[in-house]
Amino acid sequence: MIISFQMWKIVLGLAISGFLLMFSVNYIGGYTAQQNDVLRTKIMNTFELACYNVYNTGNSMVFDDFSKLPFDVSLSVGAEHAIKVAGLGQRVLKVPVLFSIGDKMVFSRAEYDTGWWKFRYVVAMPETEIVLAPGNSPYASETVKGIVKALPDTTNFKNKVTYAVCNGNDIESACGKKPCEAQALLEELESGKALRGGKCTADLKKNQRLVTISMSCTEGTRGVCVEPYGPASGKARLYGTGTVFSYDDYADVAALIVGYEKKDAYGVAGESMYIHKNSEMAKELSLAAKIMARRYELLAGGLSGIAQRGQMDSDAEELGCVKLFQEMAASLDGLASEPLGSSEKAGETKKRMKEMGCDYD
Amino acid sequence: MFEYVIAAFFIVLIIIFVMFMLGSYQMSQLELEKQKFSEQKAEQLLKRVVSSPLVAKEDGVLDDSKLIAALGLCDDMEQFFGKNWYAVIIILDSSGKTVRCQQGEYSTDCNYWVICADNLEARISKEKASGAGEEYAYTVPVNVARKMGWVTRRGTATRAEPALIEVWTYD
Repeated sequence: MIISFQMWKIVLGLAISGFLLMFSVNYIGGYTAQQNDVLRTKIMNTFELACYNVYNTGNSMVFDDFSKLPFDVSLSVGAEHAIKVAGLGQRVLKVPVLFSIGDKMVFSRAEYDTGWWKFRYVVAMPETEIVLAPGNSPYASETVKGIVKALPDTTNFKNKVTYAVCNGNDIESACGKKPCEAQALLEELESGKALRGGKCTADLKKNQRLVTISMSCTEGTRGVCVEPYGPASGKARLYGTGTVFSYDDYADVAALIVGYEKKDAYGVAGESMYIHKNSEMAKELSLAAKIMARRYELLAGGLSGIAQRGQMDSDAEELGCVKLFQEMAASLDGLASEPLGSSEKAGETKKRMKEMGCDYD
Repeated sequence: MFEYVIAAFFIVLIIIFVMFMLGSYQMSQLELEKQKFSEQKAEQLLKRVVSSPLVAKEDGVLDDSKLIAALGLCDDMEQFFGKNWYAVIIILDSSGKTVRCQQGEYSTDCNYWVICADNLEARISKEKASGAGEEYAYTVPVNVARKMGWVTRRGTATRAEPALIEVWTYD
């Protein structure tokens, strides 16, 4: 009788302990997952704020927080452009950001000058080696310069974006020294040195991105293939998309390089970045054109009013600005409805205005 | 035997209490993080407005002609800066007199601009109807460059005046 009672106590004790243990393990598992979500939310908040900060100040920075936990981040370019994070929902981007996620990242601000407006965007990319395969295009050197300027300059930063040249199976530094970063490569190119490279057949490492500059890109070309028509325009292809992307500025090519071939639920990242950049640029240029057209009309009216009231001599040089302000307002009115159209006339007028001292840069 | 049951009961009670404490701590952490993030976003919006070439001549120096041109373009501005915000810029004037700048008319006599004025009214009427939601307001000193601040017989020159900008964001 005593033995069976002892046994029953042991069994009951084991059952209760087992239950408590199972419960605790289960709870700790759930708690850990929740803690990870909290940490991931904090990291994404820091990432978003870093983008805003770099965009607003123009100061580059390094960002290593993505090394703490695995992240699956992609860009969805629907009605609103949003960063989608697996398991954490989405957040709408308020500034143009070309990004690809990695453990050691570098953020910088670049800009594209349309002549009358500077479109700013943030580039956030992990440590990368850009492998250039410059072909026989007469614009190869100009194209490389444009691409390098549109990507982060990591000189003096611990996370690096470097450049190499590929020729056949060989990949070597693009400027004879390692690491070959933007500043060093640009100095080499400015000194007139041409990059020697050709069709690339080398195996690429995970952190390498191939950029081929060719007279004829095909769908089968690996990585990004750029086919320049001139020093800052042409078409490009991205492996895996089958799409031909036209470009009028190197920010378009930078978008393809930064997003690259990564496939996610929303397509190929490079293509999403290209769409994001152009849509954000159209939005910004349209607003800028509206505001600036109004501004130049106001300034033209203001200056004419001063002259009419006799506060200024009729032969004052500044009165020549009135005509330029009016011309500029007319050009910008057209651009407000078609922001990605030709901005040559507006750029030309802006240049004349600066030369005459009518307006600042 | 009974003492074991009581001990088990208390152990379970302690575990539930610890779970409750950890859960509450986590929720409060999330809430704090959310609030901190909203504050930081509002601060970034202020930085963005103050440094944007859409209204600024350079970082921290707003252009009066751009400010007038931006009046009445709130829908477009919201597409660029985000929704539910407005900015009030006022020139620090020893006379204390405020003259609101009007859309479509360049004047150096006015000293007070409201960008996205409709949102200011919307926030106030919402606050009256259902109480204040989550609101953040940041104020910083800036300069306003008067494009035609000085007028001489030979031309005009820019005059800088000290001002305050207050940027509001609300839910």
